[in-house]
Amino acid sequence: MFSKKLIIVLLGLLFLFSCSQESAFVASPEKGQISISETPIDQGVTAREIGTAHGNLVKIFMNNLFNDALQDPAAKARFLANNGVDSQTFKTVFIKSVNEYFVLEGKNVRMTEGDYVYLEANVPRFRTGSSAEIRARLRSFHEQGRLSDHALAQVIAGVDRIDQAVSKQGLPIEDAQVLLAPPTPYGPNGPEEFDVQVFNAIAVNSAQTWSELMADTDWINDAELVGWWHWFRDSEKGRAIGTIAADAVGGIAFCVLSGGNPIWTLVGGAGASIVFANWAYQGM
Amino acid sequence: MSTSTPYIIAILVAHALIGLIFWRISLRSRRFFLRGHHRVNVLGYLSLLGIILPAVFLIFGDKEYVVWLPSMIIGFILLLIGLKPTKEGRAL
Repeated sequence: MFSKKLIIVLLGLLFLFSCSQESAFVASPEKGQISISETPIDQGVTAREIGTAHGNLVKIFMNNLFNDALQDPAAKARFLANNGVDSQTFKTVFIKSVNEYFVLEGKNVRMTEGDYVYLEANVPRFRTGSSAEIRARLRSFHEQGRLSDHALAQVIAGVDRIDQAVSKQGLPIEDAQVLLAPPTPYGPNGPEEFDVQVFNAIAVNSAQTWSELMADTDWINDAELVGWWHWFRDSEKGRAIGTIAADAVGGIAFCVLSGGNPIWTLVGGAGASIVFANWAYQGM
Repeated sequence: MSTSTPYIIAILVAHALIGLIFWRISLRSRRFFLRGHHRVNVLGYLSLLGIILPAVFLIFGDKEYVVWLPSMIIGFILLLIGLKPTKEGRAL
């Protein structure tokens, strides 16, 4: 049904597609901010280890903490200036996951004294609006008997800290968008101190509290919850299952379309899984 | 090198192996991978995929045994089902 030339052309296109994705990755101006190390740091290094290795001089911010500010160059500059950060030393490091450990994008990342690291973490979270809104929502949920006293106290304490931090920046409190982040075992100075470091967000350090918060499905539905498809990219199991599934679907589709041609079955399966893997594994 | 490159290489290696086995078996046994009988070929492809892709990934990529091991087991089961001659195969 299909000629061999066509198969070769398709395989060639797949190869070029893979190469072009790699070029785009390297040329990305955001990723260009990562400096190259003489001594590579292995993937899988934790933020805690980064902090320890560099005498805890690395300040770590999560991306969503000042997400809005980053969209606006002037606001970003003001934020950095307010924190006493020299924009020349501000480095962007893309982080895959905070669930088990921080995985650095690329192995060669060097952080020196005074470097500030911007972590982009793909973590499930939901935007809860202003601190006043989050307080009202939490209290309402608590009154319904669905949020424990302990959980309420923990999150309200986090909101208080955010208000203080926002005031310290000289920004109006009502403008602050509060985000909740799930429990994470690692922080620059350990789990207990993690939420002290953050600006404009609460890292809920209790799994029980997080579980209670997640039970408020109305809230989550109204909020900016990360899409379910991110599971296929953000977890090892998701990537593995996705690759096999894409392969099977592509293989079956091309097999049926080609009338059972085994070569086209292979091309379809390989193509589908390459496209999936390129999406899923590239952001690691 | 992009972080996705090792996985793409692993996928290509896996499919090269699947193709090789596809080809060898189709030469030896017309009961399995029958050209033109796409249902049989789908089964054969899935069985080889279930076995070989996880094996290659275990060498090149993620070592998520919780996912790969069941895939290999399912692949072997499909292979056993697939090796049973079909009516068309028996008639050959």
